[in-house]
Amino acid sequence: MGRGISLVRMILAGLLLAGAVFALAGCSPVEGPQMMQARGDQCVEPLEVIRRDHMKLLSHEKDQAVLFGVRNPNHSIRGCVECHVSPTASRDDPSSHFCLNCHSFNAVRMDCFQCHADKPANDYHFHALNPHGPGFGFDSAADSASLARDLESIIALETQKP
Amino acid sequence: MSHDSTPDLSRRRFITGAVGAVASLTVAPGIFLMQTNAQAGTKPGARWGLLINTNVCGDCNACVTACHKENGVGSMNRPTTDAQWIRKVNITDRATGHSRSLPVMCQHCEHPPCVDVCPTGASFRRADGIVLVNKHTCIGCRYCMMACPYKARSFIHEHLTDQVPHAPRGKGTVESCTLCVHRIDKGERTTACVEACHTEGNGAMVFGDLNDPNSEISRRLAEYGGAAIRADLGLNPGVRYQGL
Repeated sequence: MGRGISLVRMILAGLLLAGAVFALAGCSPVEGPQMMQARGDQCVEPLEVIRRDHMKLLSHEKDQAVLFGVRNPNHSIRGCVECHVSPTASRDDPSSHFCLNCHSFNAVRMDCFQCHADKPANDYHFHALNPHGPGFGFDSAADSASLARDLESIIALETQKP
Repeated sequence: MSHDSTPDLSRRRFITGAVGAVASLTVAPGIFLMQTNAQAGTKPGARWGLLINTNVCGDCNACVTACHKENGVGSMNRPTTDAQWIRKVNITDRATGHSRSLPVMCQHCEHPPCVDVCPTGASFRRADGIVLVNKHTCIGCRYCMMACPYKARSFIHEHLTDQVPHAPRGKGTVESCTLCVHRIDKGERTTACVEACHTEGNGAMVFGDLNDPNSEISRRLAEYGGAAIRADLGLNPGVRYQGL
């Protein structure tokens, strides 16, 4: 009697398991979101690193930048946006915005772009590892525009009679 | 995407990668000269400040316009709540009728009351004397706005779009003059207001390192002196005025 019940239980469990396997086999893989092609051929870190740890890099270095002025353009949120977001991106069309698109697909609610610019300032800004070279005004070092501004202010000071 | 390959990112590499900011130059397409920034972070020993000569400062508004353009501070057409990083103040001596016009912005105090009252540590003073709001930790309580004797800070009441990349601004945080910190960190030695004052205005403003005795601002202060607004509070602001 007891043996019969345990046999029935085992058969039931087996049927359930088989049903679950068939149900899972019937599912097709979830289609990924349509991502915008990054401009440039190389990311600032290997793909496995940047995919898994970009938030750690950004989070750690934001404090370095804000509190101590240690700015690393290659690991800045601005750097991400320069390559991965189209200058004509719109929030209504997530496929033009790499970051927002993947975050919404993965149900990650990140508020970076409530404050940070969600579009590149122009279309020729790239990080230092991009084979197309860093764009004008991107690097944290002084560029020709800043040097010109400095020179102008120095000349203005020297020609001025206090 | 493979999940079995563990990213090779040791703690040490992570930290050194963060601190050793790398700058590079393009020699030819695909070839770079890599160099480490000799001086990463704030300039050691510096204290940035402004000197404003109110004898020269006139009726113009060039510094305000330039600051707000540089940092993407736009009007919402609601003057009572619009953010202002810098404003022109007119003062008149009632006894003589003598009047002055001068720009007032965050005075970048050595002992900032906004930092004292901030409950989260978001309001802070950088090693080079610039007083900033860390908007990552600001909760928008506005204690700093009440503590500031110069009314230098603004609160953002509304959702913003189209910020400029170097000046993140967002609803629910407090903001004020950053002394153009994005320019200073680039190695520039002029701010948007000072630049505009020289090109469009009357050349009344000087930016520089107050701790460097050879800088233009220190030389002028040594020769002609400069007053702090509300010097009685003993905050030792980094913005000084002549002719008040």
